[in-house]
Amino acid sequence: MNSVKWEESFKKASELLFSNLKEGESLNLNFDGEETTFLRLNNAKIRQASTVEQGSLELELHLGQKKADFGVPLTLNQLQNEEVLKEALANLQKEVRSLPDDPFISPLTNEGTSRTVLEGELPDGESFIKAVVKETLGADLAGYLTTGQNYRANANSLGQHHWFSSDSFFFDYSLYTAKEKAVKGSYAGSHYKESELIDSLDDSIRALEVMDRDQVELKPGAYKCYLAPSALNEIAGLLGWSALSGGSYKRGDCPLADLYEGKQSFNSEVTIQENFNLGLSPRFNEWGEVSKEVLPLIEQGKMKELFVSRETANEYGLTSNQASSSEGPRALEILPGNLKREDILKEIGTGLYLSNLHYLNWSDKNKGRITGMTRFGCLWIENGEVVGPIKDLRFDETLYHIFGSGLKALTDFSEVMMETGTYSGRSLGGAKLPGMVVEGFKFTL
Amino acid sequence: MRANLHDFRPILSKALDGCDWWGIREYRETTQFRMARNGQNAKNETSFDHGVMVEAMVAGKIGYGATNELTSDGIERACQKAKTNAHLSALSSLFTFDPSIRPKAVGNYHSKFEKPLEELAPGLVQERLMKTTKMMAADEAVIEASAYVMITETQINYLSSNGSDWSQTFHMVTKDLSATAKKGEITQNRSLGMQGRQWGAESLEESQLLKESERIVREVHQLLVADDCPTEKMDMILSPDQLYLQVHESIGHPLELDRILGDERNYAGWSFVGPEDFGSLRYGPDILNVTFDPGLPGEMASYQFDDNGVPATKEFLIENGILKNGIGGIESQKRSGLGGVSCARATSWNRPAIDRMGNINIEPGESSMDDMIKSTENGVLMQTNRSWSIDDYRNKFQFGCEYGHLIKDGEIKGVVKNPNYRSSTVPFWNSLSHVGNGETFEIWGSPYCGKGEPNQVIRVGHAIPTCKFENIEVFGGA
Repeated sequence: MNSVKWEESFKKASELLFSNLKEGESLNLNFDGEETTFLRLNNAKIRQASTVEQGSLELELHLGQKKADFGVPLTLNQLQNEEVLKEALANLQKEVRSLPDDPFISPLTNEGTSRTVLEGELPDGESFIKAVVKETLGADLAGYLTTGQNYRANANSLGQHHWFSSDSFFFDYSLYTAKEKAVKGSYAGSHYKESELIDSLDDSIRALEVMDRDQVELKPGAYKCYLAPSALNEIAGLLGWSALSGGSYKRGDCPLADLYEGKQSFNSEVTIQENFNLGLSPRFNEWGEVSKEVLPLIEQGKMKELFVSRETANEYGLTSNQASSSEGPRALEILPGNLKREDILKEIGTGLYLSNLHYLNWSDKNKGRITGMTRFGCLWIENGEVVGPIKDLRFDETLYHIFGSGLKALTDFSEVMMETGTYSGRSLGGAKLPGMVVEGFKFTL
Repeated sequence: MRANLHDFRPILSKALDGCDWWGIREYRETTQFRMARNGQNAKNETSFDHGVMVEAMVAGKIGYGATNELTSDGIERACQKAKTNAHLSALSSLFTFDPSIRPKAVGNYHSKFEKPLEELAPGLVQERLMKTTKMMAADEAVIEASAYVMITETQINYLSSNGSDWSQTFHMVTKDLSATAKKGEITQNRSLGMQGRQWGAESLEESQLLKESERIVREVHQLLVADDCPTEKMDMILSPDQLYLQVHESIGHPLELDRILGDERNYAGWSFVGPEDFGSLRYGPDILNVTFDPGLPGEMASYQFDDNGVPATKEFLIENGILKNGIGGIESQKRSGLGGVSCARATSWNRPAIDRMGNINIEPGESSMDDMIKSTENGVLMQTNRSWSIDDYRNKFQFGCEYGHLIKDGEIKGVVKNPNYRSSTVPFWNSLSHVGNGETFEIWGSPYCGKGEPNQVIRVGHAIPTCKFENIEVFGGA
């Protein structure tokens, strides 16, 4: 484990850069690093195995009302770092002086220090692949294992310093029948146990049995649906696309503007909050501001607060709630309700059990309307009994119906879903969500 | 770092001694992102990325090791990881390759441009963006005006144990302008549509930016008072700034061989196209000709070699409406036994190459814009994408656009807001009735095509004429 070496690299880089600042300049630094192995599988065999060791440092230089950013690689080699960092700072110092003023700059502040190191036990590739091959003998599996260390840090020239490192892994996979019907599975955490991997695979293999039944082809229309936590996770992900952003609201681009203005409401059972107690991501943002442990966003169906970053606060005269610049959730939680797991099929009666959704997007952003597809593990239920897998359907429905007039029940259990995004580098974060039953959910194709 | 890739050859040769084959791909990229809002300076962010991917083939299995520590130690560690991963793959490998999947390639490529990007000094770019947004924000209905530009310079260098030694340099600019206006309870947005190409400083001429801004403000005003798009089955004309995404989602992705082979099933999805469809599936009428064309200057994915070093040539994917070739690189071609194209690319130094769209184009047809409008009794003309969604087999899709015009009895009538449509891929393309001629042909592209596990974005180009489709399910807002 190189956590100590990376922390040292970040510290030395900070000292070097801060000591080379000129009169009137202040500097904010954000570090992302990782050592990750990816095992990509198809037909339960390795398609590509890769290992990435990478670090990047973003320099945000302030000079009065001017600001510019420069991102560079940061490595474990101090000589390389020194050469790259000195050149980057010199470029940045030249550029910032050539730019017009930015009227909405927030000056840097010292928000203190923190250090979080989350150690775990990670799988080794060889025993992992042997276990997968053994457990899925004859089964058709696709997916990937992602395992390794993640690093995040922030510091500024006013003395602020935060460090976060975590060992974690996830195995995100799907299993297929001969008729191309599939279920999704996931095993994620920080302490790997082969027995837990095997349990996860066994559960998925059992769930696949029902997918082998004859396919049910439904006509477009409105159906009662159960959205499992993994399906709700797709909708929750869309909330991060400007629906909970204070800046988006001010710019006329917030799909939940009517909720914020009280023209619409969600069901009083719906409470949505940011909850850093989930422990999936650092509480500090890119300016080192530490968020509240719990930030209520929607309480009992009413919008209580939007995410407001320091930049938005400065521009529109609002109060920051230490949101990140993207003003999206980092640790979203929807509180559970009363529906017991064993009563889900009875509650559906006749309708759809949706395990996963796919490719969601706004179809009428101003009105909070979304579209998307059903995907893995979606079943037709009649009189509380599973009939069989459905042919995929397209839905087109408003959030106000899903969380409002159409909502019939929230489950009394929740599931924590770790962020599995790996664009350019591993993402952190996740969500804790219940399942929900929605009546009259509209399908169009 | 100034290190030359050739300097590392002795380390690679020693560390990877005994491998069937090895290669190293260096990726060096600088991206400037500049943005203005409402006449004010908003963002000036530059990122410099530089690293290498080592590939090692052992007994026909390839392992990958990536690092951005460009020192002897860093390269040595990447080599060891690549070898370890090759041995790991041997425990349960999907396919056994041989070194023929990495043919020897030597050469250079450089983007074509009229004016060098060096003319775009940071202060000058920001000043133009501020001026553009100031003009849009001056309109009293406009509540938010923004403009951004992303200027990217990428160099890829590649060496291998069998003598490959090539280099490609790309200059790319992606830009967009946008105005959001409000009147009473109605809020509407109009934009340029994200426009990405390989080009130079000519992409940011001030006079052109201001001209586009004027149009955007004029059109967002029209949208504020426009009726909603009707909900009915009608004819539909799609301009290139919408049709390029339609091609991307419903022709490009389903033809990717790695999707057909199942690699993408857990993330991006599978495909309704099967191996048996090549040479026989009627994707559209005779007038539909779709090509993979890496040689069209200015498109975002023009290049000489893919990241496996395979020379890139123009190929028909769909010819006279019949499916001919898949979008699959040399590895997928070996695995599937199907024909493909030179399209194995990686997002950067830190990911293995996978099958990616390059430039996927519709060849121009015979119809003028006037022909298409005059032949329409009841229809809508849609421009500029704002929403997209399609299933994991690439069948059932739904798209939304910013701006529409009703067409009645062969004439353009009023503007309509919130135009949307939905359909399924093969019936949709078989409803194609007119393919626009060269006068309607435009180059579009995006830097944000997402796919792969681990995830990767890639730059794609789409050169597209305006086209007409018959009897499509069209609808308006909520």
